[in-house]
Amino acid sequence: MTMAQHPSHRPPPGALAARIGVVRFDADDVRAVEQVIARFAAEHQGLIQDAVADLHAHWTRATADLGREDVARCIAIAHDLAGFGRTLGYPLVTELCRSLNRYLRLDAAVLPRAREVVEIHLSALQIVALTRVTGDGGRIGREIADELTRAIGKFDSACGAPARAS
Amino acid sequence: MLRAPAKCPNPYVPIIMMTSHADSERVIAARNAGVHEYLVKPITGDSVLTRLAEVINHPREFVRTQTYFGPAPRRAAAATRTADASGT
Repeated sequence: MTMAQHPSHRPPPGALAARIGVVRFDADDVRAVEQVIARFAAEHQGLIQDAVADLHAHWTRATADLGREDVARCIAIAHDLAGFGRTLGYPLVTELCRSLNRYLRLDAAVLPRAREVVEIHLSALQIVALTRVTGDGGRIGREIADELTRAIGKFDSACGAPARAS
Repeated sequence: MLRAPAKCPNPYVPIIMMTSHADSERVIAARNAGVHEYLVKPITGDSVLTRLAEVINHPREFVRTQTYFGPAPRRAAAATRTADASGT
């Protein structure tokens, strides 16, 4: 018995293939999509800067009492920024946000001790956003990575490294 | 569930999930939620069109169990195509 005959399996109604036939994309189609992606990236350059500013504002509010609501908002913004970073040509933003969220997700009792390492991430993000550091960031990227590595090493050796999942 | 009738006006619509997460846990979670294709950023023209062609040219059958409703697993769908092509 094939899956088509199995009572729990059924073909999707109105499948596109039945209506428009087999589709094939060529190099021109690929170029057209690449242009759309590039246009999207150009139109949304300000999005990274705005989100980083928003992240700072929420962290500033969160630092008063490290309230979970503002911290949760920071996590959500950093998560979205991680996604936008790669799409818009800022892979460094993605890496910074993923690393940042490992610390923001720490238990409420431990988070106050991670304040320094969180704020180094935020400063690095601000530099990357304001100076529009694309790609791996070159010299600025290496300097940021070195400073972060020092701060992370200091925290991790004192408190233990947070879980990898972002 | 992603394709729950109360939430989704067309539960059969092909879903291509674009994400920056490539870890297997998330891929499995997306598949278990009823996603057709999983596209990891950075997105390229070729990767988008390859996924589009896949969902259009090879529409997968849908399967319903007590805990899942969505496209049949890719290997099962491929086996169906092979079986149907050979007339078995």
